[in-house]
Amino acid sequence: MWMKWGGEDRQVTVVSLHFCDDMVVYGESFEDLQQNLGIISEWSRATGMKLNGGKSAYLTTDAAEGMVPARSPTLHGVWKGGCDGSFTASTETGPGHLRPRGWDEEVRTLGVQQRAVS
Amino acid sequence: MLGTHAWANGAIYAPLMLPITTEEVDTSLKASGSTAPGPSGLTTEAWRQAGVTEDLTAVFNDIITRREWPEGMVDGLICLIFPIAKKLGICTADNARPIALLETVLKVLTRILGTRWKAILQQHPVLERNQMAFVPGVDIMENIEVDSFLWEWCRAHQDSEDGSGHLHASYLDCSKAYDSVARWLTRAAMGTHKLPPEFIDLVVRLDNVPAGRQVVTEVGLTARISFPGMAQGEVCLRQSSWCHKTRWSGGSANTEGQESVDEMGRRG
Repeated sequence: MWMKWGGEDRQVTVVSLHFCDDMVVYGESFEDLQQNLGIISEWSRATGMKLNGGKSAYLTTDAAEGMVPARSPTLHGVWKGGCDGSFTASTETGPGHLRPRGWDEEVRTLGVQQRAVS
Repeated sequence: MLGTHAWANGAIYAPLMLPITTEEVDTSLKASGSTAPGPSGLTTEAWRQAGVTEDLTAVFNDIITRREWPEGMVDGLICLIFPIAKKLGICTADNARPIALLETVLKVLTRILGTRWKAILQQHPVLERNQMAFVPGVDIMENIEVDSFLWEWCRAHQDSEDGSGHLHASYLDCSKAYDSVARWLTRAAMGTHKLPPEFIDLVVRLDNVPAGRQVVTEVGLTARISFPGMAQGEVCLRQSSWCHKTRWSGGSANTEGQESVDEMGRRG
């Protein structure tokens, strides 16, 4: 995201926002988001923190994904390569998949309603 | 929480273990307001009226000086299990969450330590900057505003050729986040921030009660049971351990409830 700050155009990258156990993770593409979720998934596996894919949500402004995204990222998969590694998402369908939400579907997060299209 | 910063320095936490003053106890008693009391039913107001601030200060300083909870205070940690309805309606077994309530006097001490910790965090911002909780001066509105701004910006640039207006977001739900954090992780997170080991022990031991906690239910029965997670707040218990199977509202006791609690005691 580009924004004007101090009279100059600056690029700002927001990867995630946290409030206690409330998490929002972003990606500039589906694959980017999947990789970021892979980091979270590996972290939760290592620490014992349980993430509930069924209660989580996936939203996008990318029209190519469809009004209701046909695919959704997953928390299930394998991380390989240490800190600089990559995440291979599981192809199995199941509770690890985040629930895709349509453009006009509201999601309650951080205490407010959010949706992809205003 | 695990993110390290170059300026993380153990010296900044020195005030955590300084002797507690009567002013701190007094302020904590006042700040506790009308929090729900533990099994004794003694509210913070009752403690204030009793005029025992100096005695409490002496007890708290004994804990800080010896750097351990007194015998029985943690091992026999007494809490009140009180069910509240999850959703609007009758508090039945499938619509209730058990809340453990500690004695207010224990909360007065943890509030003092928490206030000290927050003051340090205010001066030394060592927490990850995308974690807005527990950071003095910021609140959840910061996250809401950034999240809303991102969506607005991406909607406005949705048709840009470089695809910069494509936002892919996931909102994640943690299941029983506080119950599932292992003690070693709590230690590791606090250790990474170079908190004093004595303070870490004090905090971790508060929720480490291997022999089980002495639980008092609101129907007045006691049992010793173990449950994971924080001593105060929602606890992770099987419904059969603390609540009637059907149609029990929080305020009424009957034979069925007593049997349930007795069974709980035998298991514990």
